[in-house]
Amino acid sequence: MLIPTDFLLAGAFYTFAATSIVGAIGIIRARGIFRSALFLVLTLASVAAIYVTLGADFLGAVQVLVYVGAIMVLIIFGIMLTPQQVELPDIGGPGQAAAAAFVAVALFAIATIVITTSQWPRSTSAAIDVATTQVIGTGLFTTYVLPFEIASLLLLVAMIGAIVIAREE
Amino acid sequence: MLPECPASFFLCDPFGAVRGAIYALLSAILPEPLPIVIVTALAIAMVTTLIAIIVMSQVWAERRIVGYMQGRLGPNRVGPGGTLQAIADAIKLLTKEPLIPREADKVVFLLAPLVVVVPSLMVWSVIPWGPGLSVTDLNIGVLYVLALGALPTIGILMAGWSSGNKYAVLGGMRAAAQLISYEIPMVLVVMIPVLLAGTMALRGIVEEQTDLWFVLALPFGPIAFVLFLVSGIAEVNRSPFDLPEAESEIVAGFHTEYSGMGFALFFLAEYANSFAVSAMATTLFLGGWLGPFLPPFIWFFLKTYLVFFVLVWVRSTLPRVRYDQLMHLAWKVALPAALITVGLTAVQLSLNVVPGTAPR
Repeated sequence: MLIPTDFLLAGAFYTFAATSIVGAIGIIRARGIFRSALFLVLTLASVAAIYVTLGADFLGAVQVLVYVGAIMVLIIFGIMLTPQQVELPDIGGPGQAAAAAFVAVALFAIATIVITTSQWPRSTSAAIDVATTQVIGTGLFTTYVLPFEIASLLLLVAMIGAIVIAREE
Repeated sequence: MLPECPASFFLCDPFGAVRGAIYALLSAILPEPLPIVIVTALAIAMVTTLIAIIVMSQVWAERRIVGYMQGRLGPNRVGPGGTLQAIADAIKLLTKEPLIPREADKVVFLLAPLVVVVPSLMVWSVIPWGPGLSVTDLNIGVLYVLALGALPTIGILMAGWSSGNKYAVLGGMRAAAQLISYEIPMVLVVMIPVLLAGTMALRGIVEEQTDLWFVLALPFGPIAFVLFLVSGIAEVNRSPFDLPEAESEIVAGFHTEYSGMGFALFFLAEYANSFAVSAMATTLFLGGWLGPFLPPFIWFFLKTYLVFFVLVWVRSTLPRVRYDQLMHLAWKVALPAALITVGLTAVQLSLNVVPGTAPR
């Protein structure tokens, strides 16, 4: 590559990281569940962009296709089909707020400790140009065929469960 | 690539020659990172201009062809043969007042056309117009196109929801159900050229068709091509699958409340998507730019406009399907057919019996 890849990639990474955080704050701050869902779209799309900047282009495209293109469309579809008059009740008093703050701080602390103390494998810059698709495909059908099949089975069970629940009426 | 058309021959790849010349000129006077950035920006600008020109040609061709098929003239007053009609329409839309309904969710309402139009334009950056002729050739080209094709659905839902109009909401919901349903057979059927070519890069897929266009890879190529066209028409909301904007039922569906540039952007996205589907059909099944005598990009345009003509033909011939027929076709016909076709193609490949493809 002739362009200063490191600089551009770092800029793109921080841009999309900031966007995904803004989207995440938007999910909980937005008024109305429809807008929350749209902020979730923003977050998921930014995460996909982060995957691309990290050289996982296949993962990024699949993230957009599956999460933004399918799951979020179904979520928004569900929101449109449910009555909108229901305002979320103001649950819990100061005790719940304190507990929520404790859980949030604890989770943040644990994540920070894990990330800063772990020994992360350093990737070489040459790895960015490797064709990820073939590696992922070969891995899924050889080494990881059992987890792959179990995941498929789980999805099938969940789908049948959803149909059974919906049919009970 | 074609043996009778070497890359140094100007007519074979005029844009590649121009690009090389500009790049050589720039790298003589500018430091290293800048020339490639400028050349890429120029390529993006060129494709964006191309989109405007192609969309105008499509609008004109569609209206004239539909007019001819319905025994009337179609637009023939503005410019020679009515060719400038689209420009007149665009100017009219530019000068119209953008109305925002009082009940609308303003931010979402204004963002929705952008969410629809931006992915539709981004798809064009990987379309292989000729050998070496596309803004970029991604390793995951097919997946990139599919992922971007899924994004406008969100924009359509945003438009339908934020308009504060029941017909718009109905149109948005129809669109969501339809796009989700037809995306599945679409994704499956696109895997057939990927299986046959052994790559997801669009240029690679075209080059693999030098011996045999995948539409002729019997017995499953033609089935896959028809399935792709049907789900493609459904994905771009064209008649007979234009239920999200069915005029006789729900006014104009999700874009009922849009006027001026908002409407123009939806219109642009729809035609850009129609062209993208035609171009993808050409690339995946009809051998892309491959063909004798003429320069590659001419072949590409000939084939793509032929596919677009078929789309127009279908539109002016078939009545709109009913909602349950649409779902029946997607889930009980297209999906099983696509699944079986993909499975049997994989079996065929592992037994090495596909004509014209290299043994693997």
